[in-house]
Amino acid sequence: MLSDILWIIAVTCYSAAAAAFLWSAGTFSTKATTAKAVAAAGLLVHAALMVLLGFELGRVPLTNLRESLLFVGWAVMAFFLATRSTRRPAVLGAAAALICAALVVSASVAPGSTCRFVLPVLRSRWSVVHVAASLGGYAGFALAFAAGALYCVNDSLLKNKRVGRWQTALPSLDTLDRFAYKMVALGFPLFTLGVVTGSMWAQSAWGTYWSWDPKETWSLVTWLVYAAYLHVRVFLGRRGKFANRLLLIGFACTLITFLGVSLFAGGLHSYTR
Amino acid sequence: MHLVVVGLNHKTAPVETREQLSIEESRLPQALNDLTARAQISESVILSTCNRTEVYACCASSDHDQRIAEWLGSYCNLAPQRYAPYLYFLHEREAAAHLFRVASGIDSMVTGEDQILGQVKTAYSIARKVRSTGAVLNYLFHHAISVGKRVRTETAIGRGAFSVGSAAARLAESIFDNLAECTVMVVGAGKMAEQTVLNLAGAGAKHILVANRSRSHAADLAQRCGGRPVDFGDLEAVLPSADIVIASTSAREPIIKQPMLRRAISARRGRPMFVIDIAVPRNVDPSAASLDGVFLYNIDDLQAVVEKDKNARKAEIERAEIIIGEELERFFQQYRARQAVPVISAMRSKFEAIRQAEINKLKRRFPELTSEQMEAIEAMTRSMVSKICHDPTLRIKDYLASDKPPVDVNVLCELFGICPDAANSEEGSKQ
Repeated sequence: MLSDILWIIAVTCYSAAAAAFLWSAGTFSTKATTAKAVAAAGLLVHAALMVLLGFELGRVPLTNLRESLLFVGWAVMAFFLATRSTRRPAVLGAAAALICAALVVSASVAPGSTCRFVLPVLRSRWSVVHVAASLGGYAGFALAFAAGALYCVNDSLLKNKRVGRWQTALPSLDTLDRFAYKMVALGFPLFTLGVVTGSMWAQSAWGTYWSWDPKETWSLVTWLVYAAYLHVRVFLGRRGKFANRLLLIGFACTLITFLGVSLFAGGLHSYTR
Repeated sequence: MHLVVVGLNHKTAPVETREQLSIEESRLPQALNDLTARAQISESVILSTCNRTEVYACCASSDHDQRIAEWLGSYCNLAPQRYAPYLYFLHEREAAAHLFRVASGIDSMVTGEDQILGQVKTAYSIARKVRSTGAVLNYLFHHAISVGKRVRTETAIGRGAFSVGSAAARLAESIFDNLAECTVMVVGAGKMAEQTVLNLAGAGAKHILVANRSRSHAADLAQRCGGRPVDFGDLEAVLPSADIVIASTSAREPIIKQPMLRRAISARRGRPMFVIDIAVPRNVDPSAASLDGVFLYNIDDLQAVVEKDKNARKAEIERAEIIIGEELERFFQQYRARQAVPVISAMRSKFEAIRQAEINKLKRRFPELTSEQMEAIEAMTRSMVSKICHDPTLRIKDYLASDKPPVDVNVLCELFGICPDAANSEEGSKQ
């Protein structure tokens, strides 16, 4: 089947891109042009795969866990490639490509009905915006997490004077800090839009804007953590380790919101119907 | 044709001898002309730096190396016993390998340093200008320069810090995105501080402040590194604006104390600060290292980075040697293949000359031949010559390009009764 082939090509491209990024990190190349080109090829194939799935199913492929993971992976790479290139982008690129590959692979084994039928409650004009915006937000947060984690690693290496070959390949603290901020600045508005359209949809489907189901509660928590990060960064002007640690907490909340609640807690939002 | 290197370097000779045998750049053209005239060698390049003086030459036989050594001593007015024990003589493959290593920075005192490649280029271009190089050395030096580049891009031999100053610059680039946006503050004005700040300026730093108890010293250093002096008394007030601080005063106790840095970092709202303490005794309170966002490196820490990078570069030598081995193989294969060119062209021109002579004889004996008949004879003889030459041409190429030629060039020349030297030098001057 064509979609199977596209699936394999996309994963291959992302894995090859990750290897190429790591290679250019190891050889201290400043641009990583080849790796970016391979990743971009993966992104195109990935997009074609989602369009094909949409045609096969006769609906927007954003309803179940499989399709969600696929979309988040696509958004991660799209966001990474769309940001103006930073100095020494190789390690960040490798992180993005690995996240992407992991998401696409897990999408291929994740439960997801290939059913053309969609529950009536999921049929709403809000639904597409709600799902796409939330997932876009998650993608931004994932990249911000990668940069924040690398920040903490680089900070501790520099602090402990362990400045060998691999430390040299890491992007500078400044670069990581700015990249993480950009990603939250992109992800937060999307996520906010997701929450708002979600409550609109809830009003039209369930008759109430907010019903404190686990997904809603956790997305509020996630929203608050990233709001705190932005306040720390923008209004207090604080950068550095504190802000970047908030990103790690924020991403833990994101994971609970995106996957934890759906897989384990059940509730109205469960993917595992 | 025989490749030879005669020379000495920092490993074989003490500095006094190196000084006496070094030849300034401005005297090189004259020296090369003198060498060509007196030692009777066909091609030569002289590479003379503070760590080495070497003569690369292409000569008719291997015993010409002694002539080069004698010339070197007499040119520099040095008795043979004063320099002869330090000389090395390398031939053919070893000679080419040596130049490749030199260009790659493997033979340098500081492994992987960059300057030597530029010095090789300069030495070659000077020799080329005075026309002391020919086909062989042109080809060898072009190849060596590209090997030097390849080794530096494909291995990490040229990377990392070569000095305390460059270690500081490399760490600064690990913390800050763009040194041009950073403010560097120098406290004190020692030699080491100057070296460090110049390295940072080389990496792009533009805003440089110099604070010293002596205003005139501060102004001096500020002028040399393109910065501006600030009052020593304003140190605490200026500190928060500094992204990189270099402390290098002769104070007996810390002048930058932990609370001072804590206030600075909180005024900077967590923006990191790189504090370089190259003073002994130390100028910055060591307990400041635990502050979040402060990266404090003292002279030993930086020295350790230099040492580590040095070892990392040494570890790359093996990889560089593999590349050099590959390139040597390539060089000699192409070099041998090029040897065939003058032999073949000499053989062909000899046959052509015979053909012309016979045609002329024929014309004299049979003046009644029509132009149509003459054309037919021309065409027939030309085709005969080219058919006779076809197989030997291919064989000569094959023989000379192979690793162990079954036939010596000289044997081939004798066989056809030709002397390719004339053709060879003609090709050399064409290049």
